[in-house]
Amino acid sequence: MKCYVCGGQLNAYNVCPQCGADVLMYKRIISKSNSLYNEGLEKAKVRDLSGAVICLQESLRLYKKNTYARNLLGLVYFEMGEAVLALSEWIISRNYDGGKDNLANLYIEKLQSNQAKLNTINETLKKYNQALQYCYQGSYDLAAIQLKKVLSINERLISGYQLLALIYMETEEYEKARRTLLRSLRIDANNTRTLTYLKETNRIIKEIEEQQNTDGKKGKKKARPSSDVYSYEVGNDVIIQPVYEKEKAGFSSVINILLGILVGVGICYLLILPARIDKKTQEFEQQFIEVSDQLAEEQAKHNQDIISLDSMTKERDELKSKVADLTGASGKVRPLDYLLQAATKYVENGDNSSAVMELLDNITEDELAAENADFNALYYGLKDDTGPRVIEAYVEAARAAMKSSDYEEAVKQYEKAYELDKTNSDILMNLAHAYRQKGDVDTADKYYRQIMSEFPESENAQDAAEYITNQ
Amino acid sequence: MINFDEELRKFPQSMEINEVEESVRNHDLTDVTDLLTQMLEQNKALQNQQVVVQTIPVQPGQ
Repeated sequence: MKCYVCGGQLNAYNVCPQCGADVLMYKRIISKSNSLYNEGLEKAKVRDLSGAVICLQESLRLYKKNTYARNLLGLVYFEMGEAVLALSEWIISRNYDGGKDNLANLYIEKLQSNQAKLNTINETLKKYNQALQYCYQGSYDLAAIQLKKVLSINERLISGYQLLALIYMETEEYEKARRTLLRSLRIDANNTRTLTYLKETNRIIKEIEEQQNTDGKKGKKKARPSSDVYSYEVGNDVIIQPVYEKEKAGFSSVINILLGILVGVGICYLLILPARIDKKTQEFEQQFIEVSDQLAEEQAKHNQDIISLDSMTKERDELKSKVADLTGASGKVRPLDYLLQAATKYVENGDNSSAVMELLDNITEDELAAENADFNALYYGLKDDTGPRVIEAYVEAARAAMKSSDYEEAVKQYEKAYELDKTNSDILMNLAHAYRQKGDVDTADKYYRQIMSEFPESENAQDAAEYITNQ
Repeated sequence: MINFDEELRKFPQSMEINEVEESVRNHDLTDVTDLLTQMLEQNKALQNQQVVVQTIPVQPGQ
């Protein structure tokens, strides 16, 4: 112990050996402070936390530097859920006694090292304050919910239990209030407020039970629980509560489950399945349409291919025929063949003009036009050379036929001769005569007129005019 | 009977962690030994005043 004046070490005497100050009273104060600390410690051991707080506060009022008392007070505050008060005491303790032996250092370090825990505690204190605000506003259910949350996290907050019990008492949930207060007493066994509330709660519960018993004895049906509700009277109020019936388990629940499954399947079948079927049907129809379109397209393409194949086949056949004609493979005699045969005949016997002419007559004018210049040159060369002799031969034959009155043959010969030389009016005249002799007057007249029109200056034209029968 | 509103007023707002500093600053740390010290100092001061009054010399002719 040190002197409060000079700080010097004191001895057993009541006077400071350094400064001579009277330390009797000082020693008594410290002694009392220590005594109160001991008392607080004993109370804390038996969980009388409220009592311990009072003793320790008194101890510190006497002697503020009682480190043990201050540390214990902080510990008791922490146990009661008041973390801020606990922390304050330990900080003050550390300030007065900064030595390493001071337990306050350990407590502060433990608290500060676990930041998560500290934050959690802070949150619970905030929620507690919020619950208090709800109570002021009259929102008791919200306040109760908040306090339950707080107490689930911070199970040692005595004021939280007390406030929750108060709310239950206000909302006449006395059993809940009682249970809450009993939980609080496990932490702080001799808390005056808790004990007061508990006493009040027990009294009210007892009153209610007595009332129920009284009503039961008098035969009032209200006190007896019916199948649905349970009602009782408290003063002028009638309290009606539903009876809690435990749901029957067993076979009925299995039936209920099966019924539920059936109903669910029915709903699916009626509501969900048709829509899905429709959707699938639409998809299939769409696919069908697409496939049909593709098929039609393919069909059209196929038809087009067939048509083009036909035309190509036809073209091929025509070309084949042309090739055959050109190569002589078809068996048909080509104009070239006729020309070559005529040329051969001419070479073999230049006097065989009629045979040459007959062969040349097989070549038509169209075929002639289709051939090249060499072909035409040979053709006309042969024709020019053999033509006059042939004409002469035809005319001689015609005359001979006229003489023998074979007018039919005469006409034929004169026509052959005229065919080869249409510039000869004499042949035409003789032809007309032959027709007239034959008896075909109309044809004879026709030829007479033709002479008149084609050869007007010739003598035959004048003669023809005289011979025309039908003028 | 417990009056809800009266009881409710007895519940103070809980301090939060960030209010620790203010709590420590506002803590009244005066104890009995401080009072005792003040009393002794006041006593000492009074005694000194009395000594000063007694030692004032009396002037001749007064």
